[in-house]
Amino acid sequence: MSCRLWPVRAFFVVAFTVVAPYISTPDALAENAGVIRGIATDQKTHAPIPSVRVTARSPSATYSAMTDARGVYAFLSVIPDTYTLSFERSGYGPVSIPGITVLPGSNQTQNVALTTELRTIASVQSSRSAGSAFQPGMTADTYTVTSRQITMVQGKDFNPDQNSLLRSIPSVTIDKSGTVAIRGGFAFEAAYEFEGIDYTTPNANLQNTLQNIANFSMLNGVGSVELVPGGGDATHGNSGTGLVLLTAKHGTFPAYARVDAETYVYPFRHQLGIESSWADPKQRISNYASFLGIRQDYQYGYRGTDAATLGPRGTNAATLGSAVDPNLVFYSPQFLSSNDFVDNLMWRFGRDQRERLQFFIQTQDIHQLLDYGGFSNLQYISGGTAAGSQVGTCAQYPPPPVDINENSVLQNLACNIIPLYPGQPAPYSYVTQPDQLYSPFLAYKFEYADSLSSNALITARFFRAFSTQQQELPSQGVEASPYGGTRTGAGIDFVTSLGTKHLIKSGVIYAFSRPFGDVFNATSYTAFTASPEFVMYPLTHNGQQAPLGTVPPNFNPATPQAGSVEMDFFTPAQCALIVQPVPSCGYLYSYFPNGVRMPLEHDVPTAAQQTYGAYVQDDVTFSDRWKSELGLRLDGYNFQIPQDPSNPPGIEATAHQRLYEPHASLTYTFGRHDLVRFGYGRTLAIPLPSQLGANVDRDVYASFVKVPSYDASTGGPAMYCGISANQLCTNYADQLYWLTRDYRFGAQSLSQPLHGATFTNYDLSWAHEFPDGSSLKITPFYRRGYDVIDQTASVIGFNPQTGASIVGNLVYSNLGQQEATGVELLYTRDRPLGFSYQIGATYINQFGNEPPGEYLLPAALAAGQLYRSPDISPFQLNVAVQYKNRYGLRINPVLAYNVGYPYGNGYYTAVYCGGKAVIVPSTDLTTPFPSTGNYVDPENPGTCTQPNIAATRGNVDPAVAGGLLSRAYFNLDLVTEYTPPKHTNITFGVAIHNLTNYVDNVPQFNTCYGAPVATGIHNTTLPCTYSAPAYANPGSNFNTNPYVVYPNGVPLTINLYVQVRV
Amino acid sequence: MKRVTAIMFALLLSACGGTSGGNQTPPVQGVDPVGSNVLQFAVGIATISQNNGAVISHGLNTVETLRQPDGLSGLLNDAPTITGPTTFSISTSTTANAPLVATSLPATAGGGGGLDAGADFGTNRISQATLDDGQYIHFFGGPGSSVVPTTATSAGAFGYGFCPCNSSSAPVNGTPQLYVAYSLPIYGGSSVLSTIGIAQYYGGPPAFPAISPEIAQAGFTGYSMGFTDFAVAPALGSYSLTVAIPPDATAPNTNPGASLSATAQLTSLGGLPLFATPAFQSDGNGGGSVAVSIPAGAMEALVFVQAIGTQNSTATDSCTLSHASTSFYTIRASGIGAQSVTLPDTLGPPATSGAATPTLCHGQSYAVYAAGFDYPAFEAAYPQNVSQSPVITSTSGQADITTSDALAGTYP
Repeated sequence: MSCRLWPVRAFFVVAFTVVAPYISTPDALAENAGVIRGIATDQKTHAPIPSVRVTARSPSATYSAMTDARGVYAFLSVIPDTYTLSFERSGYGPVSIPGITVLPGSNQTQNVALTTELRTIASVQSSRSAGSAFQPGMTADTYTVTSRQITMVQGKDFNPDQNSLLRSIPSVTIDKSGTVAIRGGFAFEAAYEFEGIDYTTPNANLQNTLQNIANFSMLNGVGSVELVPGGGDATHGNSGTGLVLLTAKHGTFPAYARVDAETYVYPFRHQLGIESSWADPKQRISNYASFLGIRQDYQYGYRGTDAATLGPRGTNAATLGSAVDPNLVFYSPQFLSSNDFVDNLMWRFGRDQRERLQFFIQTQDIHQLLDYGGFSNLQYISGGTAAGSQVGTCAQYPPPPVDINENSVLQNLACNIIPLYPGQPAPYSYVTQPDQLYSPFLAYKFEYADSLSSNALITARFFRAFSTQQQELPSQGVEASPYGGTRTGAGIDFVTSLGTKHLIKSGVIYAFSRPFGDVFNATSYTAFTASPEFVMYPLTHNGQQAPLGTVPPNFNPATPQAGSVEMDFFTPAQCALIVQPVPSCGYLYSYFPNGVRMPLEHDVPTAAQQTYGAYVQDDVTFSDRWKSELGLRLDGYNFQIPQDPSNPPGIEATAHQRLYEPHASLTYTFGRHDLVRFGYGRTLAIPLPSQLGANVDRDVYASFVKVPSYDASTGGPAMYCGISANQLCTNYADQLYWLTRDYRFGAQSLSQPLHGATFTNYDLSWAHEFPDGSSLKITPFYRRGYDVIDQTASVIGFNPQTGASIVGNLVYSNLGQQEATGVELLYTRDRPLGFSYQIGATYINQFGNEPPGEYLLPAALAAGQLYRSPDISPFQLNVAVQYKNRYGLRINPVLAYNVGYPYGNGYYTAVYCGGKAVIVPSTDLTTPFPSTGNYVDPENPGTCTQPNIAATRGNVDPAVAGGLLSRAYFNLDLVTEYTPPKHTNITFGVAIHNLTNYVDNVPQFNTCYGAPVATGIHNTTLPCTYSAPAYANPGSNFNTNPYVVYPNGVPLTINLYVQVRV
Repeated sequence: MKRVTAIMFALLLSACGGTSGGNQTPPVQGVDPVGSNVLQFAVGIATISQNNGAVISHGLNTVETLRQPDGLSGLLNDAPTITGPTTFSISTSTTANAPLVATSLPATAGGGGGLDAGADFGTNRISQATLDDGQYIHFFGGPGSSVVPTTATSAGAFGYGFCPCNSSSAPVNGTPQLYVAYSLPIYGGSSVLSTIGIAQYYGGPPAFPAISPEIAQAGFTGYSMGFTDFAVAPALGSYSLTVAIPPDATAPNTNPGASLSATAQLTSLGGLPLFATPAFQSDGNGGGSVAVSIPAGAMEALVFVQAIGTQNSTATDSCTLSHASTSFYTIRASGIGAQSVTLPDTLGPPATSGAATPTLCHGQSYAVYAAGFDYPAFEAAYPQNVSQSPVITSTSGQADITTSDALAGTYP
């Protein structure tokens, strides 16, 4: 590193930089404004100067203040923008300091030394960007991305892809299903705020149950992004593993407007973006508005590839007992229509505009058509396998005598009793429209701020968020309309400056979340085709997977288990068709002479939630070099759980929880260009109301209330009702309710009620600023989770078409483990012309008990089996480069890279042997569905703990799941823009996404790999067929590899755009 | 720019750490089945007792082992074919020594009475199709399942005897296809054992290790006895067993399939004498004693006790509930002449609490039958023998067996 002198153009500048090094990085503050304060002193005598008029001016706002008797001034509520500070007092020369960038929550100290000599201030060296990696005096570990940096890492303006933005920030990793994780935590453990509005939805996202926000394309009208990984400070709560803060742009004077119009070369996509920014000359009233509309077709894999061959895309969606895998490309979105509107209105009034009233609103209207590849061959979920459309009647059955095991007979009989999807004409009907997902979202806030004095500020805000998703999935058997929740909150924050060393922050917040929505599920009739003993097994054997061999092969209503209620629904004529009659067949006929169908499952939300928080924090400036932050926060919540003994919540949870969260950090700045910082924080991740499960509505069983309870296996009343599955069922409706409820939420008898997870976070940063203004920050960290909410589920069946496992009801528990260490690196260089860079990298080494690609099995949870970084890449790198010259050319490549994702089923697994959870080799004995690579000798299988493996699939798996690493991921985007020098209001651009056309997904266990033999030679007869539409053999490599790579990523796309600025 | 390049290079170097394992799909390693496996085949005379010994039939007995070096089954999917001498025919009803039961034979092409020989009728060949026939296969499954003929099975040659266990024929993507004993003799139909109809020979406790509940739940009922006899007149001469190994779907050109073959000689039609039907005396505590008379020439005998499943019973005691499925017990006997062997009291499947249950429940139906061998049948069986080439013939080079009729009763 060279040690050349810094460019000095004015003596004042040198003095300024010596006395005012504390342009600190933003601390996370509850409000969305920043703080600028300082002392005016006499340069010769060093005495404080009172009555200095201080003015902060930007296109968005202008503030004025006077220094007090101690020479102190403070602006405690400065809306984000880049300001010029001016100092004036008679007898002294005026001083002007440009380039002071204020971000939400920033706390900057700008001291000034005035002289009596006249000064002509020339342009000074640009102040460092708030997005720079080097921020002297920073306390909490924070990454800030300014508006200009957003453009660089996104490639262009009006790019709503939030994933690509967050990916560029150290500490964020994108897992193999495309979900954002901050320092390795689950997506639902992070918090998101836009303009201080909590965007957490009360219900999990229907499209991606790992996420807790309604929509993920929120980059509309965003002026800056701040990411606080780990502990942060005490001003934000429920931040879990990290916090993402988005701040909207503000109205400016002079006003401007921009239009962005884009079109893709392929596939179809049109995008229109319009933004306007306006403020009156005195900047009392300002308004920013932005609209972003998108219409696009999706493309998976190479152009022209049959959707039925592209396999699954990830493990986002829930597959609770469903016979179809919604992660299949075949069910993925094919078309998107999105309208997003943001408005940010500000009114500043009062003396020196010390009071501010803000109204912010965002409304999103997103509609997706699913079933990529077409829906013409899709049947309703309850449809049979008869080819062709047979609207109106069930397929004719063959005449007797027929064998009970002749599937076609029971298939035909089953079509008379299985529930129909709302609007379904007949069991064998084909759907007439694709599956659809609607995701409207609305959020707004009112905020009032008042600088009570020169050193005190109070802010009050009120906000509401409405998330109302709607699903219509006839081919998957689910209808949710509407489904979501509302969140209403209010908060008060108080900031006061005590002298020049202490900045005290305190506040309280309260929010009320109410989930709502109806979900109709046409797949739960499987609870009626299985024996009650099997359905109740999770209750009677809490946490244990069903023993080997008791799991039914599939949920075909043509093969009901003994004792199931299915045959109660047959008429005597239908029972007579069964060669080996079951004595109890047709029990319901006498009560329903005209026949009766199994009812749909109807789920309704359970619990509303109150959340609250209070904090106090002191930002202490000990000296020019030492700064610290000490804070304490209280976070808590109350679940309002209905107390209805006949309809208890699906999952038991702690109704009340509080956590005191200390936060502390210390910063030491040595030299002018180096600092070290240490931080500690404790956080709480408040469980979502949806994690308590839903209630199964009893109304759908009303017609069975007068029917006496009956158990076909005993001939008497059913005795499997109640939360412990051991109570007398009061009537037939009661037993249908408990069968459905326990099938969906069976194992509610948890060892402890569910409560929020807590996290501790330690991080240590070193930051350095280079002579050319670029900067580097390296942050090793350690994060640990306690009582992490984890999901367990038993494998209860398999998809007979794809061989994919079907998991049973999800059980939430606090038995999850998370422990992560890693290093984050950020290098920034921001130049208006020439080369600019933003390089972010994250290395993470995380251990947890969540296996890759599968739900956590109960035995693995009990055995304490740990996996390494189950779904995230150990190393991720994002490089954004921008070259811009004065001739109007801008070239902006962005490279995203990771070393690969963990995969592999592993040689060992956890299973219950003799009632004890043990780690054993994974064989077709212990893993009854095709996700194992080892096969026991049929004539000498061994024992549960020591199986005799006679054959394998021929490949060697590492010991535990996730021990293999997929091919490195590499994505290169390239944007080229041209703005004619003589017409700077118009820009033409070409954006190429995925320049290398990388589309391969992570390798997945090939369930259709040839039948195993000890010698490694494989039979041509496959255990799964992939024969019936909508599935198809993916191609020539499908039968020949133990792991199959589906090329279903988004391929190369090219879009053209033009931007016009007025 | 140099700084940026240096930083990126360092980052990429550091990225070489991470989880172990290659970054490619792991390669597949194969084993030459012809070179690594050993196929053994033996034939002999099966002396079959019917009608409580009133009728004696002589059929063909076969014993087979196909094992890899560690002693486990060499293949999990293959197609066996037995070819006899030209005088051997799947239709002849008599032998030189004793007539076969008229109701059992001749074997027919179209079935009926359990004699479906299909395309093998009239040939000297017993093909996989015969061994696939569901009428000879009865699967008891786990608790709660019925005794039903299985469908979609495929027979193969395994480590100790034939079995409808080929891996591709497993319940589709479901539980593994574990050993299921044939209802013997093949071609003999359900009338061979007049009292119980189904003659299956499983190795169970006490002679064999008790089966753990998890393995039992997965459908493993007992160990194979290694022999498969056929109700067809044996002919002197050479018999060959050919096991077809399926081709490698990953490389059909280089591994187009192979086969293993072994031959055995039938040099004598004498066979072992009749094995009289055993007698059983209950001790009232779940067990009892079995009286057998081991015929001369048999170097060892095994007594089989079948505890008929109670799944249709209305009783709710723990013993009955634990015996929902049929259980098999096996007792070793040696020596010649009258013997008395003990059936222990508490060999039954464990209750849900883990407690042991009686071998037979009060009121439970049972069947007792026996088999004698002139070769070390028990010593060659799993799990005690994992030799790649166990001895499966007598000193004469044949593998003769004699099977008794069954005693049926109800445990008091």
